[in-house]
Amino acid sequence: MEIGIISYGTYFPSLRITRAEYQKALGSCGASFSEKTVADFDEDSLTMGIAAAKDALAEGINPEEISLLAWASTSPPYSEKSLSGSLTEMLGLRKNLFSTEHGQSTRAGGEAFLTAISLLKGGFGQKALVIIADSARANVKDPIEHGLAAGSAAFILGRENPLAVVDGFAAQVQENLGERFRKAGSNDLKDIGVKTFTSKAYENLMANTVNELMEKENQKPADYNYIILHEMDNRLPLKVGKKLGFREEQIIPGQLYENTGDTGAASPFLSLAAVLDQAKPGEKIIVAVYGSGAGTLAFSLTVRRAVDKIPLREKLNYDKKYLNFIQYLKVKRYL
Amino acid sequence: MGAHISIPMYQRAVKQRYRLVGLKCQNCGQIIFPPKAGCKSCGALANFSEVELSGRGKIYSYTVIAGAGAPPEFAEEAAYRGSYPVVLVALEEGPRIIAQLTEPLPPEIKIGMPVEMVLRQIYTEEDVIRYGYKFKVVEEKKKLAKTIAGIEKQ
Amino acid sequence: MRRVAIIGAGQTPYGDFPEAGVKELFASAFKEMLQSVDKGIDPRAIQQAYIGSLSAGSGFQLGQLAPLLMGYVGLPNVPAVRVENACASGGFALYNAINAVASGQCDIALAAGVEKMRDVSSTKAKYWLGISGDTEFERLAGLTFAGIYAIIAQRYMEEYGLTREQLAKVAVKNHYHGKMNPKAQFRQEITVDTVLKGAPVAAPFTVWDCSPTSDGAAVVLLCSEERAKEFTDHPVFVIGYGIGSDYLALHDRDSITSFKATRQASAKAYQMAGITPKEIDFAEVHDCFTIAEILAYSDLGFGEKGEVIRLLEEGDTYLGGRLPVNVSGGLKSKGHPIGATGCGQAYEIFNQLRGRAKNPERQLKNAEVGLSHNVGGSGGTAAVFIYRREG
Repeated sequence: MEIGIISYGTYFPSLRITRAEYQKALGSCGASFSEKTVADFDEDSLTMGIAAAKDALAEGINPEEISLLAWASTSPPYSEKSLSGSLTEMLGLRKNLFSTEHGQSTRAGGEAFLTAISLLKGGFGQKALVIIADSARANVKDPIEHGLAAGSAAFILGRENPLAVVDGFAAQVQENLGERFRKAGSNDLKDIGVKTFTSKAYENLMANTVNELMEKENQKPADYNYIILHEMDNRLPLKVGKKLGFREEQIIPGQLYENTGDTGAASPFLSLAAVLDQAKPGEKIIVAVYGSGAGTLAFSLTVRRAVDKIPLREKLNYDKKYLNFIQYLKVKRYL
Repeated sequence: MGAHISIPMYQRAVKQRYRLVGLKCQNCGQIIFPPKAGCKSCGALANFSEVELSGRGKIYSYTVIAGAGAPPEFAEEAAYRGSYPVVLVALEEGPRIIAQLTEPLPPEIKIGMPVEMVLRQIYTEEDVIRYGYKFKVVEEKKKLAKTIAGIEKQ
Repeated sequence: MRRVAIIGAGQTPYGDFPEAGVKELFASAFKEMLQSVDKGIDPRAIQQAYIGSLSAGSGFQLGQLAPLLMGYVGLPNVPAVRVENACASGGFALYNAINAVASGQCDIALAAGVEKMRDVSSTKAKYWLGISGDTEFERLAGLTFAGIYAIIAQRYMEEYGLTREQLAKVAVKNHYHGKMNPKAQFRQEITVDTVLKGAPVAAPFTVWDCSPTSDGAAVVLLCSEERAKEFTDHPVFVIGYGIGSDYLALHDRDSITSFKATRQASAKAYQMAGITPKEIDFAEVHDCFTIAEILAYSDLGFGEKGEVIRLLEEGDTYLGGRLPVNVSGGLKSKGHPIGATGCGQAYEIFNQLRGRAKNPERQLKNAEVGLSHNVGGSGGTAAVFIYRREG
């Protein structure tokens, strides 16, 4: 039986801040979003992850059937504390499930997702719940902070009538110093700020991994309907995608950065949700995930059935509340 | 100075705080939340089963706490928000509970508005984050969109 | 059960007294009580003591406050106990003392209440108040008492059409009364406009809807009917009394626009006294927040919910009206040292019935039967007493 996605859920906090507000306050903005999502004072990766999970479970899935739990975030509320216990208690999952918790870079979401798929394929249970959430922070005077946003996605994986099955995957790692890192004990992301150096890693690694995946599958870009390239910023996905031979129409459906900002580990999975919202049976998707320092992975999916959900792009526009810069500093506890 | 709820005490109620797990009296059917040893309706002291409440309800009453009026463990949050609404919710199963109302806030809070439970940070004490329930007004658009989606399907 | 009379009462002014702690406050009220006994009394005649206090001096003497205080006034061998029911501590101390005498346990018992709240930061004061409601589930919603009562007010306004202005009139009346009371914490008149324009606390309340934190003490001396004549020819009898309770948490109550605890307590009190609410000439009720007085009007049987507001608007509950309520200024204006309040209400009624209001402006004429009403927190407990001067 095929293993794939049975249902998915997403969550965006309702708070926003615009690029214009950054420019007004700081004189410039180091990121090219239009507006980005901001976690409220009482929200964090855990609460957002729970909201996305509940959205995924809302399709009538019995939480007790989940035997695998995978969590991913670069900004968990605790650097050290098992979060699976909290997640289990918050969602009413069973206590004797097998859980994995992933972090360390924004590739964590892909690691959680593929680990869960692999465990299912290995016979470790019938259903898995993967939760990916992020709400990263940095010093607000540092341009790396400007694009950081908040959001979460959750996927229930299994064998029962999947809406999309997972086909193949490829991965790569390489040493890459100074790119988007955070030393142990620090709350703030840093980056050496040498754009070409850091973009190069993204461009090369993503291209290599996607090419390797396509070779494994004996396919060409035209054989896929969508490609999702992790939106670390606004331009790289289009640049890399086109260089790989994909057309804009294959890339754009997965692009959310303009209206969300950088949602970290959750980003490619929010993009996947946006694509699944509109994908038709038979269509093929590539998801390529990036983690600074660096590592990539890419996997492909074939859509089996269309879904009937409120589209993510619509949800993104519900009941937004815009913050001014002072409110932003306070809500993120920078002040 | 915090509320003096020790960690063990907080944890003992984590099912209630995270998932609104209450009790159903097998004797008379009354749903009790927060759980008690004695049934609110028939007084029975035994034969209860656990039941997870849906989290859906309506605003029964409310207030808006001005920043200076907040208890000390909410001082930081009150300083950020300036003021925050607190609602007394009548849950659809019968019990009422009190909690903060979260963003996005409606332009005006009205008794009778439908709300749903969300999990949020409540406060931090002894360096441990206490999570629990708050309520969010059910978005009109969400209800409307689901209806439209339902119609289009047909 | 024998009948019990009040033969003396004393009370400190209520307010902010940096130079006096609980011991000093208690002693001051105690001495005034002794002086108020017509024929004098040897303090050693006191046989038991019940002392109400929530925080026992902001927590410094949670354990055995009562023997500390009794020892301080030279009566270390009078068996004493602290009574606690938050804001109804004084009322329940009074109840216990009355019962001790009524049951024959002793002939002469002291009831008192004392609270010291102004020694500590408002943060700490809020801590004490904050653990008097349901801490686990109410306080963790970010609520203080003002918030809980505001939720009551909002619902009352929704159910009965009570307006913001009508609510404010409770504060206006009680400040008008308080101005005439030399022992009141606040002695200035205000208008509805003052209330509306005050700093918001918890919608719909502003600071003027809320009673203050206060220091203060009150002491009442109870005596059996047989022995009362040794001390006074004008005993004030407690002709009826009752106590009541309800779920602590507001969310557990059936109705939030009525206090079952008050109804329970007052029903018992009226029954014991053999009278109906119509025979009450004046009352001291528990107006910790403006809405609380509105609730009290109907919970004490003075009228129906909603329509009782006319008692206020038509001047019935003003000094000079048909049923003066909170002529002392109430908790609103006189002040609210939590544990002391219940006994302070008895002090006011005793003085009114004895014609001893220091300021003749506020002395009630032709008052024979008084009622005091003391509530714990948001209605978890209540104590009601009916008094009549005989002789």
